[in-house]
Amino acid sequence: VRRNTQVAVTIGLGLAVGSLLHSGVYLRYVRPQMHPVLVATSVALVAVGVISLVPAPCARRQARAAQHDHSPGHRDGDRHRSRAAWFLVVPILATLVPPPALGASSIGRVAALTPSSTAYAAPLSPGTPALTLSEFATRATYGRSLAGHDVILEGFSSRSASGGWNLTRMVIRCCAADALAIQVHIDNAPDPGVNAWARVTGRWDGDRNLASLAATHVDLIQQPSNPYE
Amino acid sequence: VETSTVLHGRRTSPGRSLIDVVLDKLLIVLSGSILLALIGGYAVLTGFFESFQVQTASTVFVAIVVQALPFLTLGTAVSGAISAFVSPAMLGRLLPAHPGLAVPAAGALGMVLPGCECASVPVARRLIVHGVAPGAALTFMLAAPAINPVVLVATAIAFPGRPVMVLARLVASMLTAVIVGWIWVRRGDDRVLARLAGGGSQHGGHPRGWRQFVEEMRADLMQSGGFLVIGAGMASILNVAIPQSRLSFIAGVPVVSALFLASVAVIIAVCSEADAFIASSLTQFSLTARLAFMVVGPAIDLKLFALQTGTFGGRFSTRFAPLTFLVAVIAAGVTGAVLL
Repeated sequence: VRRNTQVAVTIGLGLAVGSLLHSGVYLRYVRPQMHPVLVATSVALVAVGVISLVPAPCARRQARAAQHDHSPGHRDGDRHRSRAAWFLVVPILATLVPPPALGASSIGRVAALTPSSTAYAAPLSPGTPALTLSEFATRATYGRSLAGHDVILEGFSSRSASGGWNLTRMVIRCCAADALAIQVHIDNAPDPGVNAWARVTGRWDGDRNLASLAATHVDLIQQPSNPYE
Repeated sequence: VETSTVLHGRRTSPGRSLIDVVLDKLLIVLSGSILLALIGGYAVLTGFFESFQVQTASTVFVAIVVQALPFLTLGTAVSGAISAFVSPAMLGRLLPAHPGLAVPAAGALGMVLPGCECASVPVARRLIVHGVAPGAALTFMLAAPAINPVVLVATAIAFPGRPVMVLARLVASMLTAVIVGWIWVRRGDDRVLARLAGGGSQHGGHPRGWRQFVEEMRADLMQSGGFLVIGAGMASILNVAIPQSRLSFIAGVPVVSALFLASVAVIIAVCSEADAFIASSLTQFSLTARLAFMVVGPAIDLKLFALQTGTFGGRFSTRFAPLTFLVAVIAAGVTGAVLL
């Protein structure tokens, strides 16, 4: 890969990361905490590319660079040998048609999340609190202060193995490659359709083996900007 | 620029063996066609019917690249900075001169530097170029991502009420890094790394400033980045082809289950900050098997294998990867038997 191509790919990569950040699409792949890190990466890549474009102050190097540029048949120095660099074009192109967030189709692929025994020990806040599916499932498994509370959950619909449907969310710790599924079975409401996002209001039905919610209200919603927990 | 030409002169270097060339080419051609099929498939199939497998693989592929790119950029920046601003003599004072002692010192150095496995590969290469004993540099490469503070805290959070998992991970990963380093010092064939070390002597040992920093960083990034993409492509395909949810059938068999989870760690290629959470969710497996998963993952996985092939050459990676895998599994097994 020639030096000029390297520079172009470096800048392109920086701009690709920038576009993922600008559109918020990066949340389909990594956690929101990565935002500042990705901003720094995008800026660094573009900077490295742009600085490479500035001619070297030393005349000898300029001459050598000119020689490179004007001799396409020349082997261009083994410095730029690796053709592997071309593969970086693939993720740049992928950001033009970014793949969707993991949804119902990925559930069979990932393991289910095991609720942690120590989390969410505090009592529920009064009213109708909005909980993450992880919090609801954890409280349900350990029978913790859900009884008698209406709660609000958000997720997408997926078919349940035991019939009916589950409200589902993917939990990621680092990136979408390590996704785990967390599911809450929804009773008393028709399935809004596989992969449809819904906000469900309801009450825990007291089952500690299977986290499930007796729904009183189901609203269809847009996929949230951060599809994961 | 001309010294760097010598430094990376793989095409013309006499040390570049046939197997090196064949492996590099094979890896590139094979993964290239797989990736093309993936992208072509994604583009074509989504128009006709929802190809969920391909979609999921594409999402996982982009996710691995987006997650790893910042750490790879950081690693190449550190590597470029060492090349431009640190002389081999300065590095020499940091580690004991005797390779056997430099290995555990490099392991300890790895502990304090939070980094992802992708970052530590280019840094290790730079250390070798700068004259650090290859065994010690490889120990650093294995230790830095496996047992830094971030990873240990993540492990503690993932296994609440079982602080012994953190200790076991620390011990087993440190054992792996140091033992692999020592084996490399005693038995390793440094000739497979010869072109790196040879390039270092051409360097003259004089730090050469910002221009050099940018040139080195960009070239490193292109090289490593390309192989990261290859590794991410292979990992995403296997990640989807071998669903985690259907792995449980083997969980009850003692030794086999540990070997099995260790292989899964190689295939799914998640970063070391996240693997503890996967391990904690695999509740049907024994703690020792899950320890093997966490010790092997940061040491060797598909994207690391691709990165190491691109950085050190196929002759190196085909020797180093099985060695690392074997030592990591045994270290995890012994540590698990004693502590868990």
